[in-house]
Amino acid sequence: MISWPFIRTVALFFIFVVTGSQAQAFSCDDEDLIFIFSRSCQQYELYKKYEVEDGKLNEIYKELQKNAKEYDREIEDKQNGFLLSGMSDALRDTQRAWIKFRDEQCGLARFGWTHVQDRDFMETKCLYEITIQRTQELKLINEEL
Amino acid sequence: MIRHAFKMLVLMKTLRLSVLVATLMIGSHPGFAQYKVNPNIDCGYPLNNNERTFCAEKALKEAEASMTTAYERLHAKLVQMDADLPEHLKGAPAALEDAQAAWETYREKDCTSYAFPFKGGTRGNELYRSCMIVVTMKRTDDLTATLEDYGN
Repeated sequence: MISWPFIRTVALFFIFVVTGSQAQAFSCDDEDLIFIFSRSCQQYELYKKYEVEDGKLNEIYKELQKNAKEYDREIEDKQNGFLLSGMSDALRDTQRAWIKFRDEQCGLARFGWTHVQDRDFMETKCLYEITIQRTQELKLINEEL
Repeated sequence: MIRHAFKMLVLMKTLRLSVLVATLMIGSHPGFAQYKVNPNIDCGYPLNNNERTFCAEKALKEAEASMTTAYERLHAKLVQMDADLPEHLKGAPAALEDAQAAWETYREKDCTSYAFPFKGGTRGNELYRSCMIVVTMKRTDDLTATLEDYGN
């Protein structure tokens, strides 16, 4: 007679090893499985796109800071009493405030959805969109500087 | 320059809309007396610094009033939705309050840095106010769009 612990071991082996290896082989490009995992795949793809946009934002922010520091140095050198230096610090404070706003605003985007996949997806969608907007704003400020 | 031109375009549009209300309000509010503005002021075409300041402050108050209305409508909707949700999904009104507080800090910092090189001067104050108006109008649009997403 087959004992219960043996059945449990076989069952656990099946769950962790067989199913696990299948899950590892799964790709979001697999047309047979995409139907089952569509929401997770959408989230995965969108998060990858968000990371790209976040990278672009970091790049433009670094460039803006470099130009702002140069602007500050020029103002200090001229000792112009009318214009103020300190643009670099002001932009840093603004960016910190924006990051806090981004996190709170995109945290809000999670509400109104029952399933955790939907909540994750809506938060990522918000992060993706708001990051693109901010990058555009920083580009315009950078052009003005 | 593009960003500035866009902000000024939106500002001019707002100022033109506020011309009638501005004309009616002149002389009736004690705070306006200090500007010594012409009672026939046309906020679409302000003639001097005093008129520009008066019109910009008026436009900012209007923009903030519209945003407050949009915020309160969304907040009320979230409170209503929250009441029907299970405990682990509640919390949207508090999340909106946090987001709004963070947005207010961000708006202040953003407009401070926008006007930064001219801070404290007439030009700096003009830039600061025009930035505040445009950013506030954008927030009103975002809050209204969120409410529409929830089906009013």
